[in-house]
Amino acid sequence: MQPPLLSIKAVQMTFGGLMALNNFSLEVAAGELHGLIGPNGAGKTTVFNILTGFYRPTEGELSFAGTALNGLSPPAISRLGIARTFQNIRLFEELSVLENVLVPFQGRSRLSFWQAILRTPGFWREERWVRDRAWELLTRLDLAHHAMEPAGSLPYGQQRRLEIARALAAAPRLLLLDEPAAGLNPQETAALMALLQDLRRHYGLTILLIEHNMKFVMHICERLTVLDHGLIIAQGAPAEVRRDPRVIRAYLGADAGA
Amino acid sequence: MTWAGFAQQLINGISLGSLYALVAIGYTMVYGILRLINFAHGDFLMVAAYLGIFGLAMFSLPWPVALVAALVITGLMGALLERGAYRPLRRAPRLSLLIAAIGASFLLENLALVFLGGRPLPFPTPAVFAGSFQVFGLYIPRLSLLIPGVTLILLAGLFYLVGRTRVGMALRALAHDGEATQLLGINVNRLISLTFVLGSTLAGVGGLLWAMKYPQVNPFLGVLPGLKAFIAAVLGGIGNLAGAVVGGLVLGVLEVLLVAWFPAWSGYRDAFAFILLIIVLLIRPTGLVGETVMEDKL
Repeated sequence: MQPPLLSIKAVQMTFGGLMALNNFSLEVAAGELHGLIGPNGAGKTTVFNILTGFYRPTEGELSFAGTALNGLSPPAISRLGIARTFQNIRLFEELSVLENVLVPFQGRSRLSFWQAILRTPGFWREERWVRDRAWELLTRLDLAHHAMEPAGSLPYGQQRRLEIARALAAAPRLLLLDEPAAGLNPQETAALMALLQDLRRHYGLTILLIEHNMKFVMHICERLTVLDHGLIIAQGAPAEVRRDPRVIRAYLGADAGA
Repeated sequence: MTWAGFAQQLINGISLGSLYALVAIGYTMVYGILRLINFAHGDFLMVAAYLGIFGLAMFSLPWPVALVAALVITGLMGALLERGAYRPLRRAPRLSLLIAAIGASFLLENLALVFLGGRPLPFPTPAVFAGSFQVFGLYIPRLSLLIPGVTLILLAGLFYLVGRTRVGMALRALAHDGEATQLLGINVNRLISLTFVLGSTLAGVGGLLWAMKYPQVNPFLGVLPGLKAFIAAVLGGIGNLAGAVVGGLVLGVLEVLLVAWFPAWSGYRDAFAFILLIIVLLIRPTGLVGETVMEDKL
Protein backbone atom coordinates (compact mmCIF):
# COMPACT_ATOMS: atom_id res chain seq x y z
CA MET A 1 0.00 0.00 0.00
CA GLN A 2 1.15 3.53 -0.76
CA PRO A 3 2.09 5.71 2.18
CA PRO A 4 -0.46 8.46 2.81
CA LEU A 5 0.22 11.87 1.24
CA LEU A 6 -0.53 13.60 4.51
CA SER A 7 0.03 12.10 7.91
CA ILE A 8 -0.70 13.79 11.21
CA LYS A 9 0.30 11.85 14.30
CA ALA A 10 -0.87 12.51 17.84
CA VAL A 11 -0.92 16.27 17.52
CA GLN A 12 -1.68 18.31 20.57
CA MET A 13 -2.28 22.05 20.50
CA THR A 14 -2.87 24.14 23.56
CA PHE A 15 -3.43 27.89 23.77
CA GLY A 16 -2.61 28.93 27.29
CA GLY A 17 -4.60 26.42 29.29
CA LEU A 18 -7.05 25.70 26.52
CA MET A 19 -6.70 22.39 24.70
CA ALA A 20 -7.66 23.08 21.08
CA LEU A 21 -6.59 19.70 19.74
CA ASN A 22 -5.97 16.56 21.73
CA ASN A 23 -4.20 13.51 20.32
CA PHE A 24 -5.29 14.37 16.79
CA SER A 25 -4.24 11.87 14.13
CA LEU A 26 -5.23 11.85 10.50
CA GLU A 27 -4.00 10.21 7.33
CA VAL A 28 -5.09 11.38 3.94
CA ALA A 29 -4.25 9.25 0.91
CA ALA A 30 -3.17 10.81 -2.36
CA GLY A 31 -6.23 11.70 -4.42
CA GLU A 32 -8.61 11.40 -1.50
CA LEU A 33 -11.32 13.94 -0.72
CA HIS A 34 -11.48 14.05 3.05
CA GLY A 35 -13.96 16.01 5.14
CA LEU A 36 -13.26 17.48 8.55
CA ILE A 37 -16.49 18.19 10.37
CA GLY A 38 -17.68 19.01 13.84
CA PRO A 39 -19.52 21.68 15.79
CA ASN A 40 -18.21 25.23 15.96
CA GLY A 41 -15.08 25.56 18.04
CA ALA A 42 -14.20 21.89 17.65
CA GLY A 43 -10.70 22.75 16.44
CA LYS A 44 -11.11 22.23 12.70
CA THR A 45 -9.49 25.48 11.58
CA THR A 46 -6.71 24.87 14.11
CA VAL A 47 -5.82 21.76 12.09
CA PHE A 48 -5.44 23.95 8.97
CA ASN A 49 -3.38 26.52 10.84
CA ILE A 50 -1.03 23.81 12.05
CA LEU A 51 -0.76 22.21 8.63
CA THR A 52 0.19 25.50 6.97
CA GLY A 53 2.86 26.27 9.57
CA PHE A 54 0.90 29.11 11.06
CA TYR A 55 0.73 27.46 14.47
CA ARG A 56 3.42 25.24 15.92
CA PRO A 57 1.79 22.20 17.54
CA THR A 58 2.61 21.67 21.19
CA GLU A 59 3.22 18.00 20.46
CA GLY A 60 2.94 15.56 17.58
CA GLU A 61 4.31 14.95 14.13
CA LEU A 62 3.23 16.13 10.73
CA SER A 63 4.50 14.82 7.45
CA PHE A 64 3.58 15.54 3.88
CA ALA A 65 4.78 13.41 0.96
CA GLY A 66 7.55 12.04 3.15
CA THR A 67 8.75 15.44 4.41
CA ALA A 68 8.38 16.47 8.04
CA LEU A 69 6.42 19.71 8.31
CA ASN A 70 7.25 20.45 11.94
CA GLY A 71 9.09 23.75 12.23
CA LEU A 72 8.76 24.76 8.57
CA SER A 73 7.67 28.33 7.77
CA PRO A 74 4.36 28.97 5.98
CA PRO A 75 6.04 29.89 2.66
CA ALA A 76 8.20 26.76 2.80
CA ILE A 77 5.15 24.58 3.40
CA SER A 78 3.32 26.31 0.59
CA ARG A 79 6.19 25.53 -1.76
CA LEU A 80 6.04 21.87 -0.73
CA GLY A 81 2.53 21.82 -2.14
CA ILE A 82 -0.06 22.71 0.48
CA ALA A 83 -2.44 25.60 -0.18
CA ARG A 84 -5.54 26.77 1.62
CA THR A 85 -8.59 28.99 1.43
CA PHE A 86 -10.10 30.85 4.35
CA GLN A 87 -13.42 30.61 6.12
CA ASN A 88 -13.82 34.39 5.96
CA ILE A 89 -12.64 35.16 2.45
CA ARG A 90 -9.24 36.83 2.45
CA LEU A 91 -8.63 38.00 -1.08
CA PHE A 92 -6.34 40.88 -1.98
CA GLU A 93 -9.35 43.10 -2.52
CA GLU A 94 -7.72 46.04 -4.29
CA LEU A 95 -5.79 43.79 -6.66
CA SER A 96 -7.51 42.69 -9.82
CA VAL A 97 -8.86 39.17 -10.16
CA LEU A 98 -5.97 38.31 -12.49
CA GLU A 99 -3.39 39.81 -10.13
CA ASN A 100 -4.76 37.77 -7.22
CA VAL A 101 -4.02 34.64 -9.21
CA LEU A 102 -0.61 35.92 -10.33
CA VAL A 103 0.71 36.59 -6.81
CA PRO A 104 1.35 32.94 -5.83
CA PHE A 105 3.44 32.42 -8.96
CA GLN A 106 5.92 34.92 -7.52
CA GLY A 107 6.64 32.49 -4.71
CA ARG A 108 7.40 29.78 -7.23
CA SER A 109 9.55 31.90 -9.51
CA ARG A 110 12.89 30.39 -10.41
CA LEU A 111 14.33 33.63 -11.70
CA SER A 112 17.41 35.18 -10.20
CA PHE A 113 17.46 38.81 -9.17
CA TRP A 114 19.53 39.75 -12.23
CA GLN A 115 17.33 37.85 -14.65
CA ALA A 116 14.37 39.84 -13.38
CA ILE A 117 16.20 43.18 -13.44
CA LEU A 118 17.77 42.68 -16.85
CA ARG A 119 14.60 41.17 -18.34
CA THR A 120 16.45 38.30 -19.95
CA PRO A 121 14.72 35.97 -22.44
CA GLY A 122 14.28 33.58 -19.52
CA PHE A 123 12.35 36.29 -17.71
CA TRP A 124 9.94 36.77 -20.61
CA ARG A 125 9.54 33.02 -21.03
CA GLU A 126 8.54 32.66 -17.40
CA GLU A 127 6.33 35.73 -17.62
CA ARG A 128 4.44 34.27 -20.60
CA TRP A 129 4.16 30.85 -18.96
CA VAL A 130 2.84 32.38 -15.74
CA ARG A 131 0.26 34.52 -17.52
CA ASP A 132 -0.92 31.54 -19.57
CA ARG A 133 -1.32 29.44 -16.42
CA ALA A 134 -3.17 32.27 -14.66
CA TRP A 135 -5.63 32.69 -17.55
CA GLU A 136 -6.09 28.94 -17.70
CA LEU A 137 -7.05 28.89 -14.02
CA LEU A 138 -9.42 31.81 -14.43
CA THR A 139 -11.05 30.14 -17.41
CA ARG A 140 -11.43 26.83 -15.60
CA LEU A 141 -13.03 28.57 -12.63
CA ASP A 142 -15.21 30.69 -14.90
CA LEU A 143 -13.70 34.00 -13.79
CA ALA A 144 -11.89 35.03 -16.97
CA HIS A 145 -14.44 37.68 -17.97
CA HIS A 146 -13.89 39.45 -14.62
CA ALA A 147 -10.09 39.28 -14.82
CA MET A 148 -9.47 43.04 -14.74
CA GLU A 149 -11.98 43.90 -12.01
CA PRO A 150 -10.86 44.47 -8.43
CA ALA A 151 -11.32 41.22 -6.51
CA GLY A 152 -13.29 43.05 -3.82
CA SER A 153 -16.00 44.01 -6.31
CA LEU A 154 -16.92 40.42 -7.20
CA PRO A 155 -20.13 38.92 -5.85
CA TYR A 156 -19.67 36.57 -2.92
CA GLY A 157 -19.90 33.27 -4.77
CA GLN A 158 -17.26 34.35 -7.28
CA GLN A 159 -14.98 35.54 -4.50
CA ARG A 160 -15.14 32.03 -3.07
CA ARG A 161 -14.16 30.63 -6.46
CA LEU A 162 -11.36 33.16 -6.83
CA GLU A 163 -9.92 32.06 -3.49
CA ILE A 164 -9.80 28.52 -4.84
CA ALA A 165 -8.17 29.76 -8.07
CA ARG A 166 -5.58 31.71 -6.07
CA ALA A 167 -4.79 28.67 -3.92
CA LEU A 168 -4.43 26.53 -7.06
CA ALA A 169 -1.97 29.05 -8.49
CA ALA A 170 0.43 27.97 -5.75
CA ALA A 171 0.45 24.53 -7.46
CA PRO A 172 -0.68 22.50 -4.44
CA ARG A 173 -0.90 18.74 -4.25
CA LEU A 174 -3.01 19.10 -1.14
CA LEU A 175 -5.74 21.73 -1.12
CA LEU A 176 -7.25 22.77 2.22
CA LEU A 177 -10.69 24.31 1.86
CA ASP A 178 -12.18 26.05 4.89
CA GLU A 179 -15.97 26.01 4.51
CA PRO A 180 -16.03 26.38 0.74
CA ALA A 181 -19.84 26.11 0.60
CA ALA A 182 -20.55 28.62 3.38
CA GLY A 183 -23.00 31.24 2.22
CA LEU A 184 -23.64 29.61 -1.15
CA ASN A 185 -27.18 28.93 -2.37
CA PRO A 186 -28.18 25.36 -3.36
CA GLN A 187 -27.40 25.91 -7.06
CA GLU A 188 -24.01 27.37 -6.27
CA THR A 189 -23.32 24.52 -3.88
CA ALA A 190 -24.14 21.96 -6.57
CA ALA A 191 -21.87 23.82 -8.99
CA LEU A 192 -19.08 23.84 -6.40
CA MET A 193 -19.34 20.05 -6.02
CA ALA A 194 -18.98 19.60 -9.76
CA LEU A 195 -16.11 22.08 -9.82
CA LEU A 196 -14.19 20.31 -7.06
CA GLN A 197 -14.57 16.97 -8.81
CA ASP A 198 -13.32 18.53 -12.03
CA LEU A 199 -10.33 20.19 -10.34
CA ARG A 200 -9.44 16.98 -8.58
CA ARG A 201 -9.37 15.03 -11.79
CA HIS A 202 -7.56 17.67 -13.76
CA TYR A 203 -4.88 18.64 -11.26
CA GLY A 204 -4.60 15.31 -9.44
CA LEU A 205 -5.49 17.09 -6.21
CA THR A 206 -5.93 15.72 -2.76
CA ILE A 207 -8.51 17.76 -0.85
CA LEU A 208 -9.10 18.19 2.85
CA LEU A 209 -12.12 20.33 3.56
CA ILE A 210 -13.96 21.75 6.53
CA GLU A 211 -17.67 22.14 6.02
CA HIS A 212 -20.90 22.51 7.94
CA ASN A 213 -23.23 21.76 5.06
CA MET A 214 -23.91 18.07 5.75
CA LYS A 215 -25.56 17.39 2.41
CA PHE A 216 -22.45 18.70 0.68
CA VAL A 217 -20.09 16.73 2.90
CA MET A 218 -22.01 13.46 2.69
CA HIS A 219 -22.25 13.77 -1.05
CA ILE A 220 -18.68 14.68 -1.94
CA CYS A 221 -16.32 13.33 0.73
CA GLU A 222 -14.91 9.84 0.63
CA ARG A 223 -13.92 9.81 4.25
CA LEU A 224 -14.77 11.98 7.20
CA THR A 225 -13.13 12.91 10.46
CA VAL A 226 -15.44 14.27 13.13
CA LEU A 227 -14.00 16.57 15.78
CA ASP A 228 -15.65 17.68 18.99
CA HIS A 229 -13.89 19.82 21.56
CA GLY A 230 -10.50 19.01 20.09
CA LEU A 231 -11.06 15.25 20.14
CA ILE A 232 -11.71 12.93 17.22
CA ILE A 233 -15.03 11.22 17.93
CA ALA A 234 -15.41 9.36 14.65
CA GLN A 235 -13.49 8.64 11.48
CA GLY A 236 -14.60 6.71 8.41
CA ALA A 237 -16.87 6.65 5.38
CA PRO A 238 -19.76 9.17 5.43
CA ALA A 239 -22.41 6.46 5.72
CA GLU A 240 -20.81 4.98 8.85
CA VAL A 241 -20.05 8.32 10.44
CA ARG A 242 -23.59 9.52 9.99
CA ARG A 243 -24.94 6.57 12.04
CA ASP A 244 -22.36 6.93 14.81
CA PRO A 245 -24.20 7.71 18.06
CA ARG A 246 -21.40 9.94 19.32
CA VAL A 247 -21.60 12.06 16.19
CA ILE A 248 -25.35 12.35 16.47
CA ARG A 249 -25.01 13.36 20.11
CA ALA A 250 -22.33 15.97 19.38
CA TYR A 251 -24.45 17.57 16.70
CA LEU A 252 -27.73 17.38 18.60
CA GLY A 253 -25.97 18.72 21.65
CA ALA A 254 -24.61 21.62 19.64
CA ASP A 255 -28.07 22.29 18.24
CA ALA A 256 -29.71 22.12 21.64
CA GLY A 257 -27.16 24.60 22.98
CA ALA A 258 -27.66 27.04 20.11
CA MET B 1 3.43 89.40 -7.29
CA THR B 2 4.00 89.40 -11.02
CA TRP B 3 3.20 86.37 -13.15
CA ALA B 4 6.89 85.87 -13.80
CA GLY B 5 7.55 85.98 -10.10
CA PHE B 6 4.75 83.53 -9.46
CA ALA B 7 6.09 81.14 -12.10
CA GLN B 8 9.52 81.43 -10.55
CA GLN B 9 8.19 80.54 -7.12
CA LEU B 10 6.10 77.74 -8.54
CA ILE B 11 9.20 76.19 -10.08
CA ASN B 12 11.03 76.49 -6.79
CA GLY B 13 8.07 74.95 -4.98
CA ILE B 14 7.81 72.03 -7.37
CA SER B 15 11.52 71.44 -7.03
CA LEU B 16 11.29 71.40 -3.23
CA GLY B 17 8.11 69.35 -3.36
CA SER B 18 9.76 66.76 -5.59
CA LEU B 19 12.40 66.21 -2.93
CA TYR B 20 9.71 65.79 -0.29
CA ALA B 21 7.93 63.34 -2.58
CA LEU B 22 11.05 61.22 -3.09
CA VAL B 23 11.53 60.90 0.63
CA ALA B 24 7.81 60.53 1.41
CA ILE B 25 7.65 57.42 -0.80
CA GLY B 26 9.90 55.56 1.63
CA TYR B 27 7.74 56.46 4.62
CA THR B 28 4.57 55.43 2.89
CA MET B 29 5.90 52.13 1.49
CA VAL B 30 7.27 50.98 4.82
CA TYR B 31 4.08 52.05 6.55
CA GLY B 32 1.98 50.21 3.98
CA ILE B 33 3.79 46.97 4.68
CA LEU B 34 4.88 47.08 8.33
CA ARG B 35 2.52 49.77 9.72
CA LEU B 36 5.68 51.43 10.98
CA ILE B 37 6.60 55.10 10.77
CA ASN B 38 10.29 54.61 10.07
CA PHE B 39 11.59 57.70 11.83
CA ALA B 40 15.17 56.84 10.81
CA HIS B 41 14.18 57.25 7.17
CA GLY B 42 15.06 60.96 6.97
CA ASP B 43 18.58 60.25 8.20
CA PHE B 44 19.30 58.37 5.01
CA LEU B 45 19.40 61.74 3.26
CA MET B 46 22.34 62.58 5.50
CA VAL B 47 23.95 59.17 4.94
CA ALA B 48 23.80 59.56 1.16
CA ALA B 49 25.05 63.14 1.32
CA TYR B 50 28.15 62.15 3.33
CA LEU B 51 28.75 59.14 1.09
CA GLY B 52 28.54 61.55 -1.85
CA ILE B 53 31.20 63.75 -0.26
CA PHE B 54 33.46 60.74 0.32
CA GLY B 55 33.13 59.58 -3.28
CA LEU B 56 33.49 62.99 -4.87
CA ALA B 57 35.97 64.77 -2.62
CA MET B 58 37.94 62.09 -0.79
CA PHE B 59 38.23 59.45 -3.50
CA SER B 60 37.84 61.89 -6.41
CA LEU B 61 35.67 59.40 -8.28
CA PRO B 62 33.96 60.49 -11.49
CA TRP B 63 30.59 61.92 -10.43
CA PRO B 64 28.38 59.18 -11.94
CA VAL B 65 30.39 56.51 -10.11
CA ALA B 66 30.46 58.45 -6.86
CA LEU B 67 26.73 59.15 -6.88
CA VAL B 68 25.69 55.64 -7.87
CA ALA B 69 28.00 54.13 -5.25
CA ALA B 70 26.52 56.43 -2.62
CA LEU B 71 23.01 55.32 -3.59
CA VAL B 72 23.83 51.61 -3.61
CA ILE B 73 25.39 51.82 -0.16
CA THR B 74 22.48 53.90 1.16
CA GLY B 75 20.01 51.33 -0.19
CA LEU B 76 21.88 48.44 1.42
CA MET B 77 22.09 50.32 4.70
CA GLY B 78 18.32 50.71 4.64
CA ALA B 79 17.92 46.95 4.26
CA LEU B 80 20.51 46.40 6.98
CA LEU B 81 18.59 48.65 9.36
CA GLU B 82 15.46 46.58 8.83
CA ARG B 83 17.38 43.36 9.27
CA GLY B 84 19.14 44.43 12.42
CA ALA B 85 16.63 46.63 14.20
CA TYR B 86 13.13 45.95 12.89
CA ARG B 87 13.00 42.30 11.90
CA PRO B 88 13.74 41.00 15.41
CA LEU B 89 10.75 43.06 16.57
CA ARG B 90 8.33 41.83 13.90
CA ARG B 91 6.13 40.12 16.49
CA ALA B 92 6.65 42.72 19.20
CA PRO B 93 4.06 45.42 19.92
CA ARG B 94 3.96 48.26 17.38
CA LEU B 95 5.25 50.69 19.96
CA SER B 96 8.53 48.76 20.36
CA LEU B 97 9.07 49.02 16.63
CA LEU B 98 8.43 52.75 16.69
CA ILE B 99 10.84 53.25 19.56
CA ALA B 100 13.44 51.20 17.70
CA ALA B 101 13.01 53.51 14.71
CA ILE B 102 13.51 56.61 16.83
CA GLY B 103 16.56 54.96 18.40
CA ALA B 104 17.98 54.10 14.98
CA SER B 105 17.54 57.73 13.95
CA PHE B 106 19.48 59.00 16.97
CA LEU B 107 22.12 56.33 16.41
CA LEU B 108 22.74 57.35 12.79
CA GLU B 109 22.87 61.05 13.65
CA ASN B 110 25.23 60.56 16.56
CA LEU B 111 27.49 58.14 14.71
CA ALA B 112 27.88 60.83 12.07
CA LEU B 113 28.48 63.41 14.78
CA VAL B 114 31.19 61.32 16.46
CA PHE B 115 33.01 60.19 13.35
CA LEU B 116 32.48 63.09 10.98
CA GLY B 117 32.14 65.99 13.38
CA GLY B 118 29.47 68.61 13.84
CA ARG B 119 31.05 71.17 11.55
CA PRO B 120 29.20 71.29 8.21
CA LEU B 121 31.15 69.96 5.25
CA PRO B 122 30.76 71.57 1.84
CA PHE B 123 29.18 69.35 -0.77
CA PRO B 124 31.29 69.37 -3.96
CA THR B 125 28.42 69.64 -6.45
CA PRO B 126 29.62 68.37 -9.84
CA ALA B 127 29.72 71.17 -12.40
CA VAL B 128 27.03 69.58 -14.60
CA PHE B 129 24.48 70.12 -11.84
CA ALA B 130 25.48 73.68 -11.03
CA GLY B 131 24.67 76.92 -12.77
CA SER B 132 21.42 78.24 -14.10
CA PHE B 133 19.82 79.62 -17.22
CA GLN B 134 17.25 82.17 -18.22
CA VAL B 135 13.99 81.52 -20.05
CA PHE B 136 11.38 84.24 -20.69
CA GLY B 137 13.15 86.42 -18.20
CA LEU B 138 12.92 83.71 -15.57
CA TYR B 139 16.02 82.79 -13.71
CA ILE B 140 16.03 79.01 -13.41
CA PRO B 141 18.77 77.11 -11.59
CA ARG B 142 19.65 73.95 -13.45
CA LEU B 143 18.85 71.98 -10.30
CA SER B 144 15.28 73.26 -10.30
CA LEU B 145 14.67 71.34 -13.51
CA LEU B 146 16.93 68.45 -12.66
CA ILE B 147 15.22 67.67 -9.37
CA PRO B 148 11.68 67.33 -10.75
CA GLY B 149 13.08 65.55 -13.82
CA VAL B 150 14.94 62.93 -11.80
CA THR B 151 11.95 62.57 -9.49
CA LEU B 152 9.61 62.05 -12.42
CA ILE B 153 11.78 59.32 -13.94
CA LEU B 154 12.26 57.50 -10.63
CA LEU B 155 8.57 57.68 -9.77
CA ALA B 156 7.62 56.39 -13.21
CA GLY B 157 9.93 53.45 -12.63
CA LEU B 158 8.57 52.84 -9.15
CA PHE B 159 4.94 53.01 -10.26
CA TYR B 160 5.73 50.58 -13.06
CA LEU B 161 7.40 48.23 -10.62
CA VAL B 162 4.59 48.35 -8.09
CA GLY B 163 1.71 48.54 -10.52
CA ARG B 164 2.72 46.29 -13.38
CA THR B 165 5.27 43.70 -12.34
CA ARG B 166 4.73 40.52 -10.37
CA VAL B 167 7.06 41.69 -7.61
CA GLY B 168 4.85 44.77 -7.34
CA MET B 169 1.74 42.63 -7.12
CA ALA B 170 3.35 40.65 -4.33
CA LEU B 171 4.21 43.93 -2.56
CA ARG B 172 0.62 45.11 -2.80
CA ALA B 173 -0.62 41.70 -1.65
CA LEU B 174 1.74 41.92 1.32
CA ALA B 175 0.47 45.38 2.23
CA HIS B 176 -3.09 44.08 2.16
CA ASP B 177 -2.70 40.79 4.04
CA GLY B 178 0.73 39.58 5.10
CA GLU B 179 -0.47 36.24 6.47
CA ALA B 180 -2.35 35.27 3.34
CA THR B 181 0.65 36.33 1.24
CA GLN B 182 2.97 34.07 3.24
CA LEU B 183 0.56 31.17 2.92
CA LEU B 184 0.82 31.50 -0.85
CA GLY B 185 4.52 30.73 -0.74
CA ILE B 186 5.85 34.28 -0.94
CA ASN B 187 9.10 35.00 0.88
CA VAL B 188 7.88 37.99 2.83
CA ASN B 189 11.28 38.84 4.33
CA ARG B 190 12.77 39.31 0.90
CA LEU B 191 9.94 41.65 -0.10
CA ILE B 192 10.39 43.68 3.07
CA SER B 193 14.13 43.97 2.38
CA LEU B 194 13.31 45.13 -1.14
CA THR B 195 10.95 47.76 0.25
CA PHE B 196 13.69 49.15 2.46
CA VAL B 197 16.23 49.12 -0.37
CA LEU B 198 13.83 51.02 -2.62
CA GLY B 199 12.78 53.48 0.07
CA SER B 200 16.26 54.31 1.28
CA THR B 201 17.67 54.54 -2.25
CA LEU B 202 15.00 57.11 -3.11
CA ALA B 203 15.78 58.92 0.14
CA GLY B 204 19.43 58.76 -0.94
CA VAL B 205 18.61 60.42 -4.24
CA GLY B 206 16.72 63.03 -2.24
CA GLY B 207 19.76 63.47 0.02
CA LEU B 208 22.20 63.96 -2.85
CA LEU B 209 19.92 66.44 -4.58
CA TRP B 210 19.27 68.20 -1.27
CA ALA B 211 23.03 68.49 -0.69
CA MET B 212 23.45 70.03 -4.15
CA LYS B 213 20.62 72.47 -3.45
CA TYR B 214 21.87 73.40 0.04
CA PRO B 215 25.55 72.37 -0.14
CA GLN B 216 26.27 72.26 3.59
CA VAL B 217 26.25 68.74 4.98
CA ASN B 218 25.94 68.12 8.73
CA PRO B 219 24.84 65.11 10.80
CA PHE B 220 21.33 66.52 11.24
CA LEU B 221 20.79 67.35 7.59
CA GLY B 222 18.06 64.73 7.26
CA VAL B 223 15.97 65.69 10.26
CA LEU B 224 13.89 68.54 8.88
CA PRO B 225 13.43 67.26 5.31
CA GLY B 226 12.62 63.87 6.83
CA LEU B 227 9.91 65.34 9.04
CA LYS B 228 8.53 67.40 6.15
CA ALA B 229 8.42 64.30 3.96
CA PHE B 230 6.62 62.47 6.76
CA ILE B 231 4.11 65.32 6.84
CA ALA B 232 3.80 65.04 3.06
CA ALA B 233 3.10 61.32 3.36
CA VAL B 234 0.40 61.93 5.97
CA LEU B 235 -1.01 64.82 3.94
CA GLY B 236 -1.35 62.57 0.89
CA GLY B 237 -2.65 59.62 2.89
CA ILE B 238 -0.04 57.39 4.47
CA GLY B 239 0.28 54.00 2.83
CA ASN B 240 -0.68 55.45 -0.53
CA LEU B 241 2.08 55.89 -3.14
CA ALA B 242 0.33 58.47 -5.30
CA GLY B 243 -0.67 60.27 -2.13
CA ALA B 244 2.96 60.63 -1.07
CA VAL B 245 3.77 62.32 -4.37
CA VAL B 246 0.75 64.62 -4.23
CA GLY B 247 1.43 65.42 -0.58
CA GLY B 248 5.08 66.22 -1.29
CA LEU B 249 4.28 68.58 -4.15
CA VAL B 250 1.46 70.32 -2.27
CA LEU B 251 3.62 70.83 0.79
CA GLY B 252 6.62 72.07 -1.24
CA VAL B 253 4.60 74.54 -3.29
CA LEU B 254 2.61 75.85 -0.30
CA GLU B 255 5.76 76.31 1.72
CA VAL B 256 7.54 78.26 -1.00
CA LEU B 257 4.51 80.39 -1.84
CA LEU B 258 3.90 81.19 1.81
CA VAL B 259 7.40 82.56 2.11
CA ALA B 260 7.09 84.41 -1.19
CA TRP B 261 3.75 86.05 -0.35
CA PHE B 262 4.41 86.76 3.29
CA PRO B 263 8.17 87.35 3.51
CA ALA B 264 7.75 88.47 7.10
CA TRP B 265 6.58 84.98 8.00
CA SER B 266 9.49 83.20 6.40
CA GLY B 267 10.83 82.28 9.82
CA TYR B 268 7.65 80.26 10.38
CA ARG B 269 7.95 78.11 7.27
CA ASP B 270 8.73 74.97 9.27
CA ALA B 271 6.05 75.74 11.83
CA PHE B 272 3.65 76.06 8.92
CA ALA B 273 4.36 72.48 7.85
CA PHE B 274 3.65 71.17 11.33
CA ILE B 275 0.47 73.21 11.64
CA LEU B 276 -0.60 71.68 8.36
CA LEU B 277 0.11 68.22 9.80
CA ILE B 278 -2.06 68.95 12.83
CA ILE B 279 -4.87 70.27 10.66
CA VAL B 280 -4.75 67.20 8.41
CA LEU B 281 -4.79 64.85 11.37
CA LEU B 282 -7.75 66.71 12.86
CA ILE B 283 -9.83 67.18 9.74
CA ARG B 284 -8.88 64.45 7.32
CA PRO B 285 -6.60 61.86 8.91
CA THR B 286 -6.83 59.64 5.84
CA GLY B 287 -5.10 62.35 3.79
CA LEU B 288 -5.92 63.84 0.42
CA VAL B 289 -5.81 60.58 -1.55
CA GLY B 290 -6.51 58.01 1.15
CA GLU B 291 -9.95 56.47 1.38
CA THR B 292 -9.84 53.76 4.00
CA VAL B 293 -8.82 54.27 7.58
CA MET B 294 -6.57 51.49 8.77
CA GLU B 295 -6.84 52.19 12.46
CA ASP B 296 -7.29 48.51 13.20
CA LYS B 297 -3.74 47.87 12.12
CA LEU B 298 -2.10 50.73 14.02
